[in-house]
Amino acid sequence: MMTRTRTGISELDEMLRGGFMKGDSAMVVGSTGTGKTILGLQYLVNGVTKFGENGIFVTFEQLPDTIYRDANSLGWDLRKIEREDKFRLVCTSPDLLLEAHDGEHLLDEPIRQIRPQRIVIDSLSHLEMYVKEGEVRKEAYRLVMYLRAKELSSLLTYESHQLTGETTALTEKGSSFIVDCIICLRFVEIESSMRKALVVLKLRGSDHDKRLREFEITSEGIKIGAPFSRYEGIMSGAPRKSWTEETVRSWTRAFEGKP
Amino acid sequence: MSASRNTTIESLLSSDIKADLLLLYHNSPGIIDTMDSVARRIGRTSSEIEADVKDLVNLGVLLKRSLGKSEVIYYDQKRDNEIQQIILNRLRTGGG
Repeated sequence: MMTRTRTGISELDEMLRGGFMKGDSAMVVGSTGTGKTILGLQYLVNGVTKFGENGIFVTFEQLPDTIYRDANSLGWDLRKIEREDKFRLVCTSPDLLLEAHDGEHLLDEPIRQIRPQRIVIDSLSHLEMYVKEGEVRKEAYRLVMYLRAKELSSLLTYESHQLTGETTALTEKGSSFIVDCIICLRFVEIESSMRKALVVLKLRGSDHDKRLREFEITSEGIKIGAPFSRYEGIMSGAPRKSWTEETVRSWTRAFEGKP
Repeated sequence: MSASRNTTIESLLSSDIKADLLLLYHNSPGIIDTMDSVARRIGRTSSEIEADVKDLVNLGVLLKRSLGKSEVIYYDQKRDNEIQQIILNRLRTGGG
């Protein structure tokens, strides 16, 4: 049986049939504000607090002080676990993470310091801005292989530009092929309010829940709810109510003039 | 107070850029980046911060290492408490 890396979000672990495959790479795709960074942080904080697995969070754009602050508002004291050498928040430039460094990688030192089992790269879309067209997939693959060689269960976030609506591709440069798991976060408009949906699109080597589920960002992080059973077309961003048998019967009765 | 400690304090507090850099690294100790990117994070250019970074590296507050063709600057997080204390004492004695 494959060893799993649990996210610590019980509903998500159920959807993943126990968690990510240990040492594999997962990608969380979603537009701005969907909760990718929070999901990544929760994965690392749960790793430290629930499973005794240390973690590194790599950010390119957002300054660490805002990440510490935002995490604090969700009850996660990142500075504390960092002082305890269970966590590292690394802020750097995407090109530095990709450059060849005579055998020395930027992450070698923090990895030596805390011996992590988990890592989050926030986000892969920033890497894409620094790499020549046509080389993105190769460079992203190299990064994923580096993380795998270090036996890290990695989670890479990817920002899609589309807020809602039909999508033709998950990532613009085809980087989704290099990861073992893909989780998609989406805004959906239901009855004039914006709600959030999560779906596991791919989990290499394992069965997984294919249903779309609603989720919320609460004061304790991400909470995943029940599947959207009464709607279809969720991924289009503008779902409509499913034609349940009961609905069909009501319409039939109405058209036949029966009460 | 010893002469060398006095020099350290004077050096730490000798410019606005040093203060900005110390604040940046105190708030975001995990920054490992090039001079240019660090400068951008405090709204300056690399030529503006070069001399101050050099001073802070000489004081052992910031560390430098080569990473391939690039040189990265990062913070000695173990010295953060010590630096905070120095600045706090200086402010208490009215020197700041």
